[in-house]
Amino acid sequence: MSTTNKSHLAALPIEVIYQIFDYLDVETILFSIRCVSKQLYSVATTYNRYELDFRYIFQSDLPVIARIINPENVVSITISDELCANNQVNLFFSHFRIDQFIRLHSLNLIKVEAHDLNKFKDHIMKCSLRTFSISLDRFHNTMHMSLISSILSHRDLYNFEFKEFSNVISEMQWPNQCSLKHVTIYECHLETIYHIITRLPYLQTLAIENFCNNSFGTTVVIDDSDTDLRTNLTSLLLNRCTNIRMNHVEALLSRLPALKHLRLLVPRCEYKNELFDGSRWEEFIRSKLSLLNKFEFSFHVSKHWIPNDVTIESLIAPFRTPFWLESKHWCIKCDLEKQIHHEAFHLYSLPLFQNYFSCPEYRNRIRYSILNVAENSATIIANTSELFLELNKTMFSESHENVNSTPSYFFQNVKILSLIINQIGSVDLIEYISTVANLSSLEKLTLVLWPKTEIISFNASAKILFNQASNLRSIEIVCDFDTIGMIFMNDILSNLPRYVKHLETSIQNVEHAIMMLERTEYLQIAKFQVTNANEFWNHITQWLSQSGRKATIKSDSLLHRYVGAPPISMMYLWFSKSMNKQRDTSVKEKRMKLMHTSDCS
Amino acid sequence: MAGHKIKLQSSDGDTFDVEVEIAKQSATIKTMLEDLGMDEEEDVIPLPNVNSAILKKVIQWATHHKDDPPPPEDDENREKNTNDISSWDQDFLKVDQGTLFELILAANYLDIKGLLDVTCKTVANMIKGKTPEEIRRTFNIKNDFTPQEEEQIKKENEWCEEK
Repeated sequence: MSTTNKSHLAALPIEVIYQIFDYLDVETILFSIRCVSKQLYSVATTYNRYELDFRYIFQSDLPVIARIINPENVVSITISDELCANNQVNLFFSHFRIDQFIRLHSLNLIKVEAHDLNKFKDHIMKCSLRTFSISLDRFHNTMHMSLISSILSHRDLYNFEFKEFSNVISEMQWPNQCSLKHVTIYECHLETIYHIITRLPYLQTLAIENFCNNSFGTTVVIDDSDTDLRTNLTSLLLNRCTNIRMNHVEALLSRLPALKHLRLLVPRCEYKNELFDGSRWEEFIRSKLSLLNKFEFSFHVSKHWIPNDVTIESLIAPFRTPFWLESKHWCIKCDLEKQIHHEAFHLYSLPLFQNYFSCPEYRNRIRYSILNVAENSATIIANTSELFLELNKTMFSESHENVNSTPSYFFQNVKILSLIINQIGSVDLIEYISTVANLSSLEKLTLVLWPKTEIISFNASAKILFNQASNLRSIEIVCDFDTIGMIFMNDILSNLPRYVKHLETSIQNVEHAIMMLERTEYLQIAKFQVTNANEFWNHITQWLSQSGRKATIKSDSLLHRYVGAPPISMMYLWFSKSMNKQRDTSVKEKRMKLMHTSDCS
Repeated sequence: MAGHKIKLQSSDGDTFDVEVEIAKQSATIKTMLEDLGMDEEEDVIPLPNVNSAILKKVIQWATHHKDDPPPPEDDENREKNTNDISSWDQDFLKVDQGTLFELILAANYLDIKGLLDVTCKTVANMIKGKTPEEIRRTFNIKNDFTPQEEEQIKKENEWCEEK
């Protein structure tokens, strides 16, 4: 493009520029775009959909953001008091007045204590909050639940996410007036789900990450009357079910006649649970769930518990009726898998939903595979949030050419990826990664260089990876820090995008750790797993004071791996903006007066 | 009606036969069809803001996405920060910057929410991680701040915890 041409970006209508801003973090808008031109400065000032996610904002930027952004232009706040997040609630309240966020629509609180939640509560009840998400500290108390219950009585609130890995939700006193339409719960027991559905009359979507029948052989106390639950529930997503039987599922679903979308993922079930019976499902859906148009399921069962006459052909046959093929157009697949000591059946709908996937190990387990439709070699689309991928030549060539009957996969929506480099040629395969996985949603990447794996360079591969991972926030490097490991690390860090804020590695040599930090001036948090905590602490504090980098350090002891092993510690460093970064965000690269003291607590 | 077609005319006079259901992904065209009662195959809908090359691309995108579920009406309920772009869309949008921005303008004019979303995400990805100067270079934007204004912005962006 000629330099005399007018900028395409600058020529866009303001509402479209706003929409582009919607996909950018606050730091990019304020410290990059806003400093580009008068027009973009003005757009950034009037933009009124700022989302403040304090997990990825430098502590030193808080006063600047508080000064620049009008709180009325903020619609979403995320604050985390997780161990590694450095007491964000206090920091937030030291720089902002919550009552000024009068257009707040979404609030996400992670591991907050009850007295902190109380600080937010009064304001929440006054503003037009629509989404509220909370994860509790494991030491939560009744005050937490009471406060949450009060918040849920807010008449504008319709999205609620409760992240707690225990059945704490059963303690919730759901308010009488509750407008919630979409609820996500991390763990919920069978008995509780009836209670939730009956207490939330406007509920449309209920997603439960871990759903279980916790009664272990005893009779489940459930409301088993035949009447429909008074509910508008149209989507029920049960993402990991344990100890669930078909009669439990039928008892629940038969009272949800408005259901249009059902997801039922059971990673380990018993054959006698009868979830595998396609005929029974057909009859049940015909009679009780006439509106169901999306049915996503995945059932795993060990062959050990199944009568000998059951085969994958006999399991798939009931799914070949006109109901499945012509009326619903649901594609079902059954795999016979070889496990370590036994074989197992995996019956599932396509696309596949599986939270964790290990490749090619998973695919290599498959002995035989069959579909309810005419056999085809189409790639299986897998919705997988966490993917462990060995960069293995066989895996990639088969995903291209599909040379045998073993299915090939394409992973979409991957959020956490571990890439294992363990062969000569593994590095070259990264060029083809886009044929295996869509990395545009990736948040955390772990790069593992297996000991004694020969690589010449990782430079081009790092470029390819980071180019595709525009949402990446966190990186973990696992390697021996020998000569090849240092090449690997250097090539990663040389290409690390500025939006990657968290770095994690296990490292013994403090000089290597310092080299890493010198290469990553945009880093917000570094986490080092070390066995020589005292030495590490001393060298890092000394380097901080000499280099002018400003950081807070914290150390946590972890458990011994085995008797006699050196103790392991986790060292956390929270950085303020580095000098160079500060200069980059200024309009011209003028030298600025900056602080050089290292604040090591 | 399945298979029923209409004609769309670009700014440079080319006409394209498009299935009604595909064309209706554009809220602008949908409204025209409903308000003007245009349901004859001979009726031509003029699109004076979209040239032939871009209209062809827009039809290609809409044809590929014709079976997608409709985007949520409720803006609050969409995941703003989710930057997932399907592999097909990523390949589709491997175009020069001029074409990308013309697609954005066409999606905005035709009110095709899905196409506008994915093109805006693509531009956002081009901005991420860049300094102001790098953004200027990428998008050919002139730095029109006066020295005084630059000084003011520099002060606004300064951090100093002792203040």
